Amino acid sequence: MLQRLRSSSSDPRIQRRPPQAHAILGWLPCISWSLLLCFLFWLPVAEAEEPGAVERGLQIALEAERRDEGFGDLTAHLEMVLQSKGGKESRRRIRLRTLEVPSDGDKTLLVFDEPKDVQGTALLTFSHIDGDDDQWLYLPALERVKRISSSNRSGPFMGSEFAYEDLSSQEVEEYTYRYLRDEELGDVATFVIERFPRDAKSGYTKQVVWIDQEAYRALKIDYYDRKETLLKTLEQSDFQQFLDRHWRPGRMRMVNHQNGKSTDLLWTDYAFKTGLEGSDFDRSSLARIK
Amino acid sequence: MTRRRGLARACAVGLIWAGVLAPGPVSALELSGFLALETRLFIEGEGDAGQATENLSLSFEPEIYHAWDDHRQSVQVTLFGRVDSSDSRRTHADVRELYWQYAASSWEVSVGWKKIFWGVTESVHIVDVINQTDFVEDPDAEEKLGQAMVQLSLVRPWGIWDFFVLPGFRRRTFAGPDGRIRTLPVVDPELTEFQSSKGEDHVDWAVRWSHSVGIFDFGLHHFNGTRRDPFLELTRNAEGDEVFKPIYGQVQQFGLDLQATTGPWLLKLEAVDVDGGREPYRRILSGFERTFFDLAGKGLDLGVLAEYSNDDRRARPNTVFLGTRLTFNDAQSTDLLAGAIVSQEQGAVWSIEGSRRLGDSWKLNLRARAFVDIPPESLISGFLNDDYVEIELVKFF
Repeated sequence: MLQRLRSSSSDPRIQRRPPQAHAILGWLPCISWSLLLCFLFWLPVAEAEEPGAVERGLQIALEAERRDEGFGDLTAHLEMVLQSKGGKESRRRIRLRTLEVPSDGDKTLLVFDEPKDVQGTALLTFSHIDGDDDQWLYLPALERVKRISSSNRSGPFMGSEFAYEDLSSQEVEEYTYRYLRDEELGDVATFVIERFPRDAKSGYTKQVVWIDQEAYRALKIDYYDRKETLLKTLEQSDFQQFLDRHWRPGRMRMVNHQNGKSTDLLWTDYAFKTGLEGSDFDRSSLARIK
Repeated sequence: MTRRRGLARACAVGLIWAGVLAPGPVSALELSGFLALETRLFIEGEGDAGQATENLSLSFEPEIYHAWDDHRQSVQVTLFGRVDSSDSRRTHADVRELYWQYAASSWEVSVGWKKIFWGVTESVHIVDVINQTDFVEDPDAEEKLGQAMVQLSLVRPWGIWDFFVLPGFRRRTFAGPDGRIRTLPVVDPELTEFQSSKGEDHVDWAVRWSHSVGIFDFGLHHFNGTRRDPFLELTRNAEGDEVFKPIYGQVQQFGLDLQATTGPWLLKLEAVDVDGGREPYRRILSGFERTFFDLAGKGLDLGVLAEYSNDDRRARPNTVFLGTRLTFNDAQSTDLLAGAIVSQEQGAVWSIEGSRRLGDSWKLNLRARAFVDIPPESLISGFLNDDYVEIELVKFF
């Protein structure tokens, strides 16, 4: 899942915390509490009667992120299957490479193999902890590299049911949280938390996330639109563990309840710590990845 | 093509294939490309010189890419050919790309025929000087001919340095007597003249420094060699007919391209100083693109574009480009671009372009262009009665 993948890759905590800061890990709860105090004044959801729920929600998100730290770099192939309301399918095939960058957000390069008319098109993203991401689009027919605006958060990615924000860097700081309950999802024990995007450009008012209690993987997310009605549900399955640490889903299924369309993202050929470096993500690399 | 250049090309091809066939781990050969059928309907009937009202054209662009040596070495071949029902000069073929590349982590070198794009604007490209325009393809001048080169790129923390040696000048393609969207009278390539005594064998060179810092992306370049856009001189050919003679001058060009990307705004600037040749000039092109994303939560993006061009040549008016781009972000990637380039003295060119994918591997492109109030003294006065609608169906493989 890009979510976890990105969240770890742009990992605000590792990157903000220099190595020696591990020693002061104990301070984190204090920081969280002060953050929490801020939220109390800002968010109607963080009502005074349930500060415990807000704190617990944040702790679960932090733990999920902590468990995926340090993946270094990864490459993967993905296939996107778009289903229309009538069941008509169309496919996209994409290659992905991501580099974890200490002290800033991750770098990601996507190369499109299908549909054929966009073959060779590449999208390079430098995500940043603060401020807008930097994005460049490579158009092979013109041999043109174009810097593009990254402020499209809520729009669909390649005509799919995934919005750009569903697939982009998800840092803990981008949301505020509230723990709801423990729940059995199928036969898996999960925490159910709510999270509220802090970015005004987000297409959502809230997301409800089911996180399994053993490995802290997001198994299911409900997305609520700006009118606070249920818009989409994401289900992640076929998880595999890499390097004895990082869990990744083989399948992400997004169903849009309002338009009846759905998109499956199928992940294959995951490889971690492949030795990618910064030069594999510079502007000149866009033209030669093919 | 002269025999010498033919020989040089054969040698280059030989070298490249020698590299491909060298032992070592080899990745799969990838073949792709497209085949396109295009028809143009000219709304005002026959052309000023009696050219056909309808035109049919077939184009083919196969592409081979092959990488080996852990992707450090690669070969890219892109060929192009078109058969046109009315214009013998639009029936043409070209080697768009045919190069070998070695890419190390902080430098790369390419040898062969290649396409290079510089610039940030949408309406016209004034700094983009490496490749010659394949003008018979489309009057928007976006299609380029392959350019022979040796290119060295150095990737440094303070930007990318590109060095080019450019042998083998390519002449701009112009529509023939039976073609439309052409000058009146026609350009006669037989009469082509060069300022340099070496003619098209003059070896050009160029260097560009480009970098990205925060919200800014910019490039500075210097080009020394044969100018890509010829001066067109009214003259008579051997038969005594009035024609335009293309004269290619020798120039030194300095240029800048700059884009600031902030939120949904792209602010753009291109500037050139071209010295030498018949008509030295300075030109500045500046503008913006503002996109309204995900309108009403329907996934639709609306872009508004404006660009202003200031050219100090007397015959070239200052122009304003206003345009709008609609991107539907649907499964078929439907998009629409409409705009006009307008000047006070020399009329306007209106354009609408739309495209939509059909199934998985087909695409339908629609274009319509109208040339309005172009005065007789304009170089493009011959376009005035050539308003057209173009439908193109493309099969990708």
